[in-house]
Amino acid sequence: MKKQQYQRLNETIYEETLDNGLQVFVLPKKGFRQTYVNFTTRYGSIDSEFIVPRRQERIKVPDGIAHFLEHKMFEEEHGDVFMEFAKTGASANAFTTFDTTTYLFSSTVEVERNLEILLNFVQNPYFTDENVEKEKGIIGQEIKMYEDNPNWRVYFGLLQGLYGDYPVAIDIAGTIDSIAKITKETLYDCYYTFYHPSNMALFVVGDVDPARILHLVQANQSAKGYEAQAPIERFYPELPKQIARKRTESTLDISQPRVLFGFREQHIEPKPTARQKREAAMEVWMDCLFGRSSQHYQKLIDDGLTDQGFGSEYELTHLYGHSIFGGNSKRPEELILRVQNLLLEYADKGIDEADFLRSKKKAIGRFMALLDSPQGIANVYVSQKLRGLDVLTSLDVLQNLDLHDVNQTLREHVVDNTMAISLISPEKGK
Amino acid sequence: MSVDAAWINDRVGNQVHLHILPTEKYKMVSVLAQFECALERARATKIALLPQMLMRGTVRYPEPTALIRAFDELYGAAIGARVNKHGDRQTVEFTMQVPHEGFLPEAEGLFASAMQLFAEVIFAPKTEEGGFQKSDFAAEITLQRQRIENLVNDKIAYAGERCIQEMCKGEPYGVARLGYVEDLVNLTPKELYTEYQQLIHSSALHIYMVGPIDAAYAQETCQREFSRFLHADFTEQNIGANILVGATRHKRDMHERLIVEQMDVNQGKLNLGLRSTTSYAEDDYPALVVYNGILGGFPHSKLFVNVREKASLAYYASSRLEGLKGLLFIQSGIQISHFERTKAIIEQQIEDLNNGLISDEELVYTKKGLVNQYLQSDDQPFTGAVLQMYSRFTGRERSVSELIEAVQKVTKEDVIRVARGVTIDTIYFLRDKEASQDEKTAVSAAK
Repeated sequence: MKKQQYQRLNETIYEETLDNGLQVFVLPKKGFRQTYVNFTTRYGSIDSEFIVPRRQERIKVPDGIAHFLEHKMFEEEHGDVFMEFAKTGASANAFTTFDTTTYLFSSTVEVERNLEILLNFVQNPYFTDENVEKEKGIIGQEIKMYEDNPNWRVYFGLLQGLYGDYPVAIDIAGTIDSIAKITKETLYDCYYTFYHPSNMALFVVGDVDPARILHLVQANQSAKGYEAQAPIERFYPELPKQIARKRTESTLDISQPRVLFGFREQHIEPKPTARQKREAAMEVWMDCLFGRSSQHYQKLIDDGLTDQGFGSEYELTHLYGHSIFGGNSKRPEELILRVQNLLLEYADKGIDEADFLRSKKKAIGRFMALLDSPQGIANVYVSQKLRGLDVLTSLDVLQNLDLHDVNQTLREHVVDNTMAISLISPEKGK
Repeated sequence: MSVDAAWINDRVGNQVHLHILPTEKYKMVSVLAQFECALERARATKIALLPQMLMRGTVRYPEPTALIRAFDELYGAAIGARVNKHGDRQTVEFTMQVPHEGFLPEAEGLFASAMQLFAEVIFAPKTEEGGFQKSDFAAEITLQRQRIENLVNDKIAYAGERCIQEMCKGEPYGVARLGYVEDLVNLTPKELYTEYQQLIHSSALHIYMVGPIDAAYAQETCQREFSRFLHADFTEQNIGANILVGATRHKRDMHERLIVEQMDVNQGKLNLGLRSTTSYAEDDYPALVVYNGILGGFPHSKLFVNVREKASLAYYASSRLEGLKGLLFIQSGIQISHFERTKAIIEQQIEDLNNGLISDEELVYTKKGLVNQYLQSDDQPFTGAVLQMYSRFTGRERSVSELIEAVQKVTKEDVIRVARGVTIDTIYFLRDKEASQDEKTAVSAAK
């Protein structure tokens, strides 16, 4: 196995790509009681148009199908996969994001048996008309649950403003109407396109022997006789040049308005390392300007424009990118204006050097905290790896960051006509 | 590798109790400090405001920005303060995570500097004329009022909280964690400061430190940083003597109550509050833990299988145990018109347990799942802290290994015995505003 050592962090990741294309990673962690395993396919809610390899047909599938498929994988002909894990007490779960679907378990005993269960159920689809129909009621309630969640609603409101009908703005679970169209045939098409081992990664973290793990996975995979699959052809609509709309508003039975606003990234970096650097630089200036230790954060609170939940974040992939600012606010218009003016002011004059150095230090410390969580490091490592990045190099990226880079990303990002606003308010009359 | 952590214990004066667990498995040193007091309506609102007030500034760093900056300079030492509720107790908790200095350049003394700040947040707040500073106080009152009002925004948590409040009205456990808006109204900075003084003069402070740290160094650092703040007139109040922790036995000799609340919601939240006749301190507690697991603690549990998998009525349907009190809470999110159906299925599961309808698989899977959870808790720095707190609150010491052993010994008969003591106390339903006449009739008939 290839050994990737991160000396400063005192961590080693063992990695190997199997004959069928599956990427396997093992991170031994001495002293941890649990072993956590993450099995992920590079397939998420934005992958709705592609060529089905086995018939070479281009299809467009209903919104929410990747997530629906995630639910349905847990059902096998012999019953529910949760029962298999339950036999050893393992705790299993799954989640779907814009660009990945992850299956996972953590267990303290019989890790190898659970690993086999995981590999086998994810590689054995079983869909029937009946079990597909049954799931619509369950996922319907999941969708309804999110409809009552102000954070989720205002977040997707912002994405819709920034991206219009570009796939990232579509709810990961789809809608009641879109999931009604899902059939077992379409699920099989998605499955056989995206669940080939060459499109997947397996990450094992715990007090384990890497060679043993690899041996087990190799034996399991070679017995399944996967044939090679050509690279998947996916189609995304062209990213719209402009934001779709400036404002998105809705109401919900809540105590006070919640507002998010953000800018579309103009510099989509195809190169992963350039992306990693931009992301780090963005996060540092956002922390300098609006982190808990920034003078503006406390002033926004003391002036009654928001509360301690006010924050900012940034996301950048090879397809799209955006920043988000906001929180609860009784005076959302004033809050937006104040933040906008601060952004313009600092784009012009640059970030203070003392703030920059402090934020960098903080980012380094916070990154180290991630390594103490088996689940945290596995999930972040895999999602970044599938985007072409090694997250354990973050420390070096942060250390090499200079103020000039940070100020440049700030100037490039704050472009007025790329900003959208999403507001969710209590119903009128309240 | 023993399951039970080998804590090193020490004291600073008679107030501060140190609990240190050196381990190389983490990269961060995690610190938790807590004060404990009885949960009472008269004090709860004030106690809940204290952590927010203390984060406003210290004598050395009088502005919140300066204070957080000082922590950020220490490689982002993550400081937090919050109020918590454990059974009939309220705790004021301070947490901090500091990276181990060995991994970082020029980080010598990181832990000591962080502990100095940490101690000052707890014991050296900025004051003015014998009270908290007026403008800070006014700002925090406004924010706290909003925090309380904002609880309604998370409908899952709100429904859970409302169910507890309806069920435990008049009991300490029914007091809201953050307190009450009306109790904030006439509060003064002096009164709050007096409450703070009372807390730090009457409650021990337990400090837990877990991570790659030398015990002697941690002890020495804490002796130095905390001894400056020791009070000669400290007298520990025994909060165990005057309140009852544990199940409130046969509290209500009446039928279950149905509470329906209407808001503009898309999904109905159906919550049930149950009482049992045992709790943490008692021998039957492990059987109650298993009971809760079979009912709704896992994906193999009765609620998940019957409400979600078989009837497709919900995305989530589960139960949780408040062990200190011996109370169980069921939660589910459902289509509003499915209220009767879902309620009937949930009640059937409780009834089935009562009638001993427990399969071998349900029992075995639940016990294995619980053992897995107990073992995994060893990967959380503060598991030991929670167990020690529970033992202080109940007088019953239980280690992780004892809990594992006890759960493994639980038999079907034990579960059935516990099940016979479980009764539904309160059914809470959060629904939409536009109830059709038919539905109203259906709901009122259910009362």
